[in-house]
Amino acid sequence: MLLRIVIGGVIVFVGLALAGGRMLWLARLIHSGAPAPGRLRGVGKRVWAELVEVLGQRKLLKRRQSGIPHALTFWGFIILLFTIIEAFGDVFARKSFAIPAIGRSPILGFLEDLFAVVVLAAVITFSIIRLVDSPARRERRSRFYGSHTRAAWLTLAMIATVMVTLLGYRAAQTNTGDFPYDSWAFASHGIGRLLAPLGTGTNSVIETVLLLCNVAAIMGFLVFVTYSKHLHIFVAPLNVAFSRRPRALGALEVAGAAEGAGTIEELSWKHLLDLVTCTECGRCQAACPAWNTSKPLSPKLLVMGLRDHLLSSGPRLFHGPAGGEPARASATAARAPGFASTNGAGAAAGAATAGAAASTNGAGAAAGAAMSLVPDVIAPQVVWSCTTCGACVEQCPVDIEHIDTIVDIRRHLVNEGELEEGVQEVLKNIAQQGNSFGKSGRMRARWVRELGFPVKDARKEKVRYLWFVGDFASFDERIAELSRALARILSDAGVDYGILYDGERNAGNDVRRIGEEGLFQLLVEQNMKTLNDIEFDSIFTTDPHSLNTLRNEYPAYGLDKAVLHYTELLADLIGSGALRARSLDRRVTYHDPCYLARHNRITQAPRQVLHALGCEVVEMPRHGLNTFCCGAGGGRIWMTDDPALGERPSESRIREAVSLGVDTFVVACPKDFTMYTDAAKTTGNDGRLEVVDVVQLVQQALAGEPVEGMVVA
Amino acid sequence: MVLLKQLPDLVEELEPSPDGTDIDREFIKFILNEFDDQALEEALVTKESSGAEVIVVALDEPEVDQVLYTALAKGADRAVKLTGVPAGTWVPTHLRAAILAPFVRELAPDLVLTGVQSAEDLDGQLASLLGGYLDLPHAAVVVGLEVKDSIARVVQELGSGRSVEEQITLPAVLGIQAASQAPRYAPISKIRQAMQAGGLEELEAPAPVDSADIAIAQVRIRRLYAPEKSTHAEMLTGDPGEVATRIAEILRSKGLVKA
Ligand code: SF4
Ligand code: SF4
Repeated sequence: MLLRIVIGGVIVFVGLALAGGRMLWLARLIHSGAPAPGRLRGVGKRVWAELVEVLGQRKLLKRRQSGIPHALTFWGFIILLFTIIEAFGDVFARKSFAIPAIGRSPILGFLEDLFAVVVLAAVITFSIIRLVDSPARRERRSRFYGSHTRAAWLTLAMIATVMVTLLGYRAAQTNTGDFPYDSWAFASHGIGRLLAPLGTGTNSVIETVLLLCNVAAIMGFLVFVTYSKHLHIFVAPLNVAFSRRPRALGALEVAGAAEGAGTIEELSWKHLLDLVTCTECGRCQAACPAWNTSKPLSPKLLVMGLRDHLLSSGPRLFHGPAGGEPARASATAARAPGFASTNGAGAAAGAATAGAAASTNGAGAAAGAAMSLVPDVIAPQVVWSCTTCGACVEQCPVDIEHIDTIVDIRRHLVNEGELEEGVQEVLKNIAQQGNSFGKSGRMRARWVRELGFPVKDARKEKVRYLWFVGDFASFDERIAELSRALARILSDAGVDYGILYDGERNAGNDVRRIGEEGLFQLLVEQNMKTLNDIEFDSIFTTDPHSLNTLRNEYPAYGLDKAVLHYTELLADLIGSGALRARSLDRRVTYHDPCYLARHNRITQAPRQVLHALGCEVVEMPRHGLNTFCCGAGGGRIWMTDDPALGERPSESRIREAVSLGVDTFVVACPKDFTMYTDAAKTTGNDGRLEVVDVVQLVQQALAGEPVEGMVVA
Repeated sequence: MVLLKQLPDLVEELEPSPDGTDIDREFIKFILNEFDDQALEEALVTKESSGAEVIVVALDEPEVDQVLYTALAKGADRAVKLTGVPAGTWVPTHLRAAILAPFVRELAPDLVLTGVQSAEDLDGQLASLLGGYLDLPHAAVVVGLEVKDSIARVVQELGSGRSVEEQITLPAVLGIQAASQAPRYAPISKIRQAMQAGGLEELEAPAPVDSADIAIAQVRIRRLYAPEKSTHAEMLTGDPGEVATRIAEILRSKGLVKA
């Protein structure tokens, strides 16, 4: 018995020292990040998030196959905490230890056994998932591509060891008379019966050995967890608690250093916490339009690359750029890449993704001067490939905020003037003329001339609805045609609306997401100056991107009016009977714009309009909140696509629609109309699939004239 | 020293002013002459490679403050706006050179850079006129510059793909065609910081050079016309012989060739 206490004591002490030391080290590392204001505000919603996201495993359960076994494992571990108390009690207190009060309850005994078995079954399920979606075979298509797979297998093996030793010593206890539970602990008693013939003496030895093994496995797992991606079991609840609620979509968070993040410690501490929380599950990667169309960006690999860099930056962050005490610095550094060193394949994967995440740099570099995030740690193409579509944020089960980090890094690049020349040109145009087209700001409202009736100037008279038209809808010839269609529909329906004429400037959504924060601020000031002086009830836009910034970001600058999408307005008009449409009787599919669906949760209004027009909406596999990006967001529309880097997201999307067998592809975003009419042509589907805007269908239903998809070729 | 010049933004619809002697400058936007932007970039590159001080100088022209602050945000050390000069009208290049020359002489920079030309000075006379007034060596259409001690190695483009490399002893005046890298981007936040810091110097322009040339070169505009819209283009098809015949016919019918 004494031996048992001594061995157990040593194991526990060493385990706690290693794990505790590591956790403190990580805490210091994260603490070195920039401030992240407002992360404690709203305790109520944070507690709720813990319940729903952590306890309820909401996002994980979106993927049933892995979500259910994960949830069972998670809940199992909570129940199995009792067995850990029991094991420690058995080692340190007395052989037939039982937790006071509840320690002999048949229900607890049953639950413990049940979850031990369930977790074992889950481990088998996880193994099958990993074998089926093996990155070695499926390469980029596997969501585990680039993850540390060996560490993942080790994790599964360790969990299995904990469960097997647990059931083993409990079974032996049933024969030595030390087991606190009756036959409701079915598995322990079942296995116990198999061990019974060995006799009490042998069973007693088995009990001691397996008990110590169990404690060792638990402590080993504990230490391993703090050195691997499995750290999430401790930090995920924290990361969820500090995450932006309800979600890190819509408005962008502008925290951290004012000039963006050029080095790792210029990211906010929350975004550093993000990095060590990532479980490498690859849900974000599987949904990312950039990754899915062969671009160098994977949100997962980006996070992993930054994380490895963070871990190897410890010595510099703690001891200053000179490396402080060199001996200690390198010792810590050698410890730091624990994540990476678990698996060599990780580094190989990093290299294979065209520098997606420049692999962890050695301890030597880390101890020296600060490395730049771009290009030392991450290739610039990775950062610029992001469309800010939000699919990663939507998917991430531990609430990592990829977009905020990406834009933070972009802000630094913009501040250094390191951005594509074409984009510089566009930004200069926006600064000078207020629009991305580089046309004179005075031409903004030229599109109304052809209408043949006046549109109110909201700067001169009060209107009910202010139409914030946006650049594309004003300056692009094809899209201006759609704007005119909407203007006619609204005027015919007697809607009181007006526009700002040349008083409108680009709303700045994409400008901000490119990382040109200063220009965004300038645009907001200019627009707000106009908006503050006029009278209106609410704003509507056709462009989901303008809608996003007006709705979610302008309020911080004083805008206090409702912001609607035109599909919401049309749905209202139809609902109230102001618009009476005949049935079109068409089978269509509808593409949810990222900035409408994911960032602003508007998915019903456009479908209501389509249903009211007598359209049967056939959904694409990726729809609603899981929609696929057209590739134009986040300023990508102004960047050049490298044809060597695979197809465009919009082309992938068109193929998805074609495979449904519908002939009409409905969009509700000016940029989408451009992106998809082009994609339909480049994929050779323009004869098979007609790209139409919701407004064109409404127009057709009202006028009874056939709708032309491509307005102007 | 970099000389900057504001031009009407050509995306605007330019119209003759009511009296017909100038374009209507009241409602249009002004932007920096793109070649001056190249000159500024080359100056900044030179500063980075050989550690000079960069002073940007402009006449008090519309919206010029923004341009000067942008230059400061990009890394210029001083920005000077010369006031008391004719503003809001067209400043012919001779006059511009005559205004700038005394100021340049006063500051005596090692190197003066300006854009090779502008939409209002298509002959690119500014650099050479200044050189003349100041009695300094000058070169135009410069596409390469390297400064070492008081020698500038200059690459000048001669046209039809040929260029010449030469050494000029400083001080000198150069008309820059292209900088060695694309003009850098100045983030708005930096421009605004520069504006808040308010480092713009406003100096009274010294009296212009008094020279007989100016009077001679002082063009008087009698009347400006908006360009006539050409209404149609004719596509010539057929074999080369037929096309050639047709071209000859057209030229003859317009009275451009006789025979
Ligand atoms: S926002 Fe979209 S494009 Fe950007 S990393 Fe996330 S999923 Fe990929
Ligand atoms: S960022 Fe989130 S979704 Fe992506 S791999 Fe990490 S944990 Fe999974």
